[in-house]
Amino acid sequence: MSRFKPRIDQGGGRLAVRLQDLGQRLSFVILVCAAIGLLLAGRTESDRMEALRSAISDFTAPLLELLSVPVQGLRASFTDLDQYFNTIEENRILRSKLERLQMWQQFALKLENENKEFRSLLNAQDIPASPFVSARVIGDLGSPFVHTVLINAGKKHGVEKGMPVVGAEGLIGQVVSSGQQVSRILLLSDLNSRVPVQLEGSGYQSVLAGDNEVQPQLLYLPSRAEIAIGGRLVTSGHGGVFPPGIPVGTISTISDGASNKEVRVQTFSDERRLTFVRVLQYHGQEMPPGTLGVGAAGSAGATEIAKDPKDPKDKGPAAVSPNTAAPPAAGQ
Amino acid sequence: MKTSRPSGEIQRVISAAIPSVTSILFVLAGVVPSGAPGISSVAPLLSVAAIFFWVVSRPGLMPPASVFCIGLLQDVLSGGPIGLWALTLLLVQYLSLSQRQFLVDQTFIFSWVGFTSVVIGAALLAWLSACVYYDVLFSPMPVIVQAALTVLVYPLMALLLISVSRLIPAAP
Repeated sequence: MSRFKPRIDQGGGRLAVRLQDLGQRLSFVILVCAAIGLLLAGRTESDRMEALRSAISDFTAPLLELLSVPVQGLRASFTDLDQYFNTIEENRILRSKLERLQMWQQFALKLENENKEFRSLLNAQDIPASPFVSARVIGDLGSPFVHTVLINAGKKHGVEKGMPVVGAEGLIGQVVSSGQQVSRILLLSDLNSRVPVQLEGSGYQSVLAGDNEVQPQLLYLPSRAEIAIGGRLVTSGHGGVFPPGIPVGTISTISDGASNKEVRVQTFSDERRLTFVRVLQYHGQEMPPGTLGVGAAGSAGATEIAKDPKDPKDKGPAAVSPNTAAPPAAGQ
Repeated sequence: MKTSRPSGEIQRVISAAIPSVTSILFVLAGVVPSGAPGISSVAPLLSVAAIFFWVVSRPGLMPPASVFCIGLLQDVLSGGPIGLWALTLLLVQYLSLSQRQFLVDQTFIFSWVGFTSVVIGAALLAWLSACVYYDVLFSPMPVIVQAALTVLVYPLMALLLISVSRLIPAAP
């Protein structure tokens, strides 16, 4: 009896292992089907999947915030070290920049006054400043297919889907989904990003389209449009998603494509170095075609502005208020 | 004797959860903004490395359900199509499991080579799925760079995971 016992045990063990193996295989097949099912569902039921995504993102937000603290600290100390060694050189550059900026400030103040006068003469409608919410970037998952970031502000803070997002330099993107605590921002370079823009000065309309390259390209630019490298682009406000006049970027390359000219844009904001962003609580509004005046329907009741106390007034025009700093497009 | 049992049980549960927890931490670590210019779109696939390591060293502690959930978390956080990484990581598990018998008790170079083939398979599947999902032909370059970076950082990650795996008592 005792001689057989181990063999029986071994047999039972083998059977258990086999059953376990079978169970694992079955669950593997089921889960592969589930993953494919989710992928298919994502194409047809994208809204529901987005809701699911927001819910899970909310759940992970505290962990992400916790993890991002040491990384940001490390990053800051590296920057500090770098600055320490370059203090003298940087001081010199800053001094000359300050001189230049003071000159610009005088110029801007003069223009502002002049503008005010002209506006009152023309009785033109002012574009109301949108209130905004400041938020920190807490997630930036590297992926060759999607260019989005997570920020630590959600519905609870007044962030809603579709709101434009700006940095100190200019437009960053728009909110694609918002949970209670976190929101996801679609960056300008993402494949799905489309922003109506216009060339400053000439007023030619175009669409800034991302294609997952670092520099997005301009689509539907009229062939007669005179473009040159360095030309500035601002949002046109068409479609009503983005307020007009937010600085976007400058034309960086113009090359002859297969059917049309390929024009690429260097955005003012650096997507790879995002830390703090501002979500403009601009509620999309349909404007009559050909007009830029927003009228009384705008978010004029912007009294309870979540003003960033650190918002510097002397950091250059873009930092003051991105949506009003750039002059409203001319020639429309 | 009576008191040691429950604590032994707790210890068993904790050590059984180590592979999944470290993999989840790796997914989260990959999401934290690094600030290094250009790295975010080609950041190494830390989750692939974690799953490969655990499937080869402790397959019992990395069942398909865990792999699926880790992939789902990565999908949710990445903002990409939900299901893409769940599917890709399941493939990683399958490939790692099929290589396991050749890799166990071999030198590290062998498992590094094995890992390279798994990463190539995973990158290819992720790229193909994304192309089909979005109906666009994505440039394969970022994916290739990402795969190469993943292979390059693997020794470092394996070093980390080996020290973590010492905390888990040997299989009964």
